Amino acid sequence: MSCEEPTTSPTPENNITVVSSDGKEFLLDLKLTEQSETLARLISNFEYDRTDVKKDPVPLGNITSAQMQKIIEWLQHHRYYPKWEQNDIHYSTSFTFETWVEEYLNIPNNEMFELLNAANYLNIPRLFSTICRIMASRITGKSAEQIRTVLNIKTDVKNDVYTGIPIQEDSSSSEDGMSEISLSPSPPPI
Amino acid sequence: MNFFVYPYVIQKQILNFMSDQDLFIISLCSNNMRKSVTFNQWSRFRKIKYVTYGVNNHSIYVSLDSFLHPFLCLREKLDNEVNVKRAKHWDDYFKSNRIQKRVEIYSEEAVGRLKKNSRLYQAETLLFTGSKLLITDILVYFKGHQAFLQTPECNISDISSFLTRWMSHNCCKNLNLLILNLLESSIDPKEVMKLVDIKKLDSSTKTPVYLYNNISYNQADKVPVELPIRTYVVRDCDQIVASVHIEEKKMVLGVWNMTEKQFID
Repeated sequence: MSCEEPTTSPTPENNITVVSSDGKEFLLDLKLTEQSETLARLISNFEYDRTDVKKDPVPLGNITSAQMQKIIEWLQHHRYYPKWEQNDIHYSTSFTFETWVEEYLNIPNNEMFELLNAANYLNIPRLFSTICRIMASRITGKSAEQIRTVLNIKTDVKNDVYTGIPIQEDSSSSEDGMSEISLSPSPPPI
Repeated sequence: MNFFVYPYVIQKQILNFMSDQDLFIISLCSNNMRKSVTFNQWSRFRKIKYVTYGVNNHSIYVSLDSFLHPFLCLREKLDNEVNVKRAKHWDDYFKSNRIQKRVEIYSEEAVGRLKKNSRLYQAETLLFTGSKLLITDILVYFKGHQAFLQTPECNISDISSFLTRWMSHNCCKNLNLLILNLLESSIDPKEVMKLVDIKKLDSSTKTPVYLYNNISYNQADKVPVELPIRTYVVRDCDQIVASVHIEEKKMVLGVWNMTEKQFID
């Protein structure tokens, strides 16, 4: 699915200001905020869609400026898309991603998780669902050991289920780094 | 960052989008992950009636509803392929699971032995094809009701020991039906009768017909079988009778819910 993106520059009447955790301000078109249930509700509650109401900057303490930039990119791309409806909530072999989405989410795993957190916080269902699906597809076809590395799961199993040999914890996985794996958009054939 | 530091809703959604085989593999990553998968995906697993495992060249196959529909295909490294043929693997698997109603294992190359208290022995119905050593262990420790066993070879002494132990109520106390197939060797019934007190109904008595449902790897073969047998053994403690049928490559032990007196009458 693709939509034309007419260029519109935000004006004080049709935008709000959001402030990222590192203090950077972003001017957001009200049309874009419709994709975020959190922002849409906030705008509705404070009546920021009225021109006669003073709009205070909205602090987004959980979202950094880099993440906000990325989210705005997403919102702008999907500006004229129809409202998101979650129809397919489970695994599907026929699911494919747009090329734009694949490029957009071609980022390191830890950044992807941070973006996922931000999408969850702002309640942007299309972005949230897409990242979750991409994360699931990255796990497809991997062995348990590879998944441990990808998701940085510390094993709490004392012995390997197959060999009975004690499992050594992976000391290479740091607190804030997740290892990289290649993107596998479609699961390998069974 | 760790998967578990993320909110429940994120964890659940990622797991939702995973295939059944990936969910299975991810559940092997850690105990926490196994609990998370079980908790989050309970509704998916509830639909599964039973799971069948099989080992192929590079994969373990697990299928749903016994045939046709491939449920899980675990792609594991070649190193692990050898290891899943170890009996210990089954021990570990069944240890962490509830007692199974029906277990089917077909692995002629399996090595190692099961623990005496292995949960595998507690399966209600067990279909097992494996080494002589594993089969003789099952004949000692099996606690379920029905067993269908296949092995390349089995000694007369193993069979006679089993029958003697059953008669003295020292093994397979819950057993209703045992079918033992020998794939490569054969048994001489006369030799077994020399070693065990197998009785035979006299010619004046009508031949009793033991009726059982055939146990087979193919569920479609679940047909009733009538087996007229005149030979039987008696359990010492309660005088319960079991019909014994031994032919060249097969032994059937069918336990009757009656004493010897009732059986003869």
